[in-house]
Amino acid sequence: MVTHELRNPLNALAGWLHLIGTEPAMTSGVGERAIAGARRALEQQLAQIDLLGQVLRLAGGGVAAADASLAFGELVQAQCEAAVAEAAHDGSVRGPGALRIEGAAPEGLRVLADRALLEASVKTLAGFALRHGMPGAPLEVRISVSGQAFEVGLRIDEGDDGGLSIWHGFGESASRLSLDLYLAMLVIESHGGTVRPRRAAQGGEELEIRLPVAPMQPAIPVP
Amino acid sequence: MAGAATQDPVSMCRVLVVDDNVDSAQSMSLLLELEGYAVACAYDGEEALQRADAFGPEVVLLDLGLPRISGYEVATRLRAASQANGQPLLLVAVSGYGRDQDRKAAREAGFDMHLTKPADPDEVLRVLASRHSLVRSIPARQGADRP
Repeated sequence: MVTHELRNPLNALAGWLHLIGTEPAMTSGVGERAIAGARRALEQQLAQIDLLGQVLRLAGGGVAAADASLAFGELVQAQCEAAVAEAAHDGSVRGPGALRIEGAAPEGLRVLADRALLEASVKTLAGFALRHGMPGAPLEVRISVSGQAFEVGLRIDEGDDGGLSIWHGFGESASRLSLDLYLAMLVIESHGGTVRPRRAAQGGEELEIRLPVAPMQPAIPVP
Repeated sequence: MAGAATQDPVSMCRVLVVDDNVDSAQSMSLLLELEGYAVACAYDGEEALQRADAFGPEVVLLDLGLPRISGYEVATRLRAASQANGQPLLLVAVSGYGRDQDRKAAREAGFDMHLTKPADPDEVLRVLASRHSLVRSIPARQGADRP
């Protein structure tokens, strides 16, 4: 997984550097584009290394979880909306892809979590669904509480092309997950949660995220 | 890099470059254009199939881990189409997945060659220049072990 991820920006860098080193490219106006591309590839490579550092930290049990009490349903909605806006902005969602949110978490129920990590993870998963789902298919988000856990389902319609489900990597081997998805999974798991794909009742496949509900705060006695 | 326009039969050879890493696809595309190839790009599996249908490539440089439809599936479909219409096609996997099982899966999907990223641009050019000896003829390839 790691070598594959790191090889992608390196491949781009090799291509741009090859162009920079050739006279036809540098005299045909391609040069500036190649230099900008090489810088971009370098930044992507550094971002991957940062991501790898976070994965290693979390895999080693270094998460600073449980330092904030969060309304998880609101967090999910905000991050899914942000993912939709981002995907629309960069053109990675074709067709009228949209967000549909079903259900809600009862008020007062919260999770204990590292807010920044959890927000980033939910946004990563929602963004992935939007980019990799079938064009025009809306991202359907289900929010509920089951027992002592929040449940969030991210569902996207399957195509009829016989391709694998976009959530396939979560079900079998994490070795096929990209670094950002692997990190999202580690974040959820480090908060005591689980991430798994399952068949959705209405068809298609859903990624189900479960996170334990935080214990209720004792009521403050009124003097 | 050699001046391409003078290198027949490079001229007008159609190459489809497919990679979801935009910089990888575009740098390869520019490199090949400067060498005189006619190039089209696609950034996911579905787009690759559409572009292949419209562009009719003789060579496809295809990433394996693609959004929407995997590179393996794209290769299988392109190979089937190439067999159906009798047009030779050189399918080259260009992927970060370089383990033995990845290469085996690529062969089984219909790829002729497998290059592991970062692909050496000179090697890509060599592969394209020798494509006539690499591409499988339609009758010979059925059931044959692939290179």
